[in-house]
Amino acid sequence: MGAGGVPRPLTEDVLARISFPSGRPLPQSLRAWLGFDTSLLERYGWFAHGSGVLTPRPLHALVADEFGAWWKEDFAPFTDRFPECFLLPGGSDSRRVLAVTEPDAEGESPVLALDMDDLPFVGLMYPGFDVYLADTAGLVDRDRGSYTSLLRHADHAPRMRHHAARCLDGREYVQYPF
Amino acid sequence: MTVERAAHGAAAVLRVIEKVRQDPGSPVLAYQDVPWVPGACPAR
Repeated sequence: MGAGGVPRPLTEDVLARISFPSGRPLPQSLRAWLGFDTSLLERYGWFAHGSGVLTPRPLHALVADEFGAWWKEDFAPFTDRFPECFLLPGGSDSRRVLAVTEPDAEGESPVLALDMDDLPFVGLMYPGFDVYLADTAGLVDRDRGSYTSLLRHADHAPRMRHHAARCLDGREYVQYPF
Repeated sequence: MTVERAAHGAAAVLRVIEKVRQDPGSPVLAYQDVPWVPGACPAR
């Protein structure tokens, strides 16, 4: 949000032509949010300063920036799988990351949870930006005792399974060593 | 108000926007670089 809690939308002309650098289209949920506010995601490094150009990072680079450069090599195996990632608000020691991948039936890419306590962990947390944002606003009824509980959610499990199959070889999470 | 199956995608986000507009004090609107979700590091 902008100063004073005033949302700052992406201009219509930028919204009309924006896409991920890979050429993949933005999911409709993200497009709708950016049409409402950009300042929140801008604070998380989503845009080149003062522009409507998206600036994703490969997962290993995002991890190095957030947790320390010594993790870079350990996360290198994810580079081909998650070449375009965006940090999202949320978590305390952990992080939420939108990873642009082959979209699910809703046109969405998954949101991952990264947790470096004990053994580093990469898990599927949300099936898309849509459910992530809805959960953040308190609109999703889910088991909060586990990062990956939406894999067992009556409504969201099918999309979660799609992403598990395509992103993590059918698993809901992976732990170090990757 | 929950997001049921029919409200995925942009429809879910429109509900969030509606909620934020109705409640300027909501955590989404007031978000200032602190964790949104209490106990945000659950079990694996």
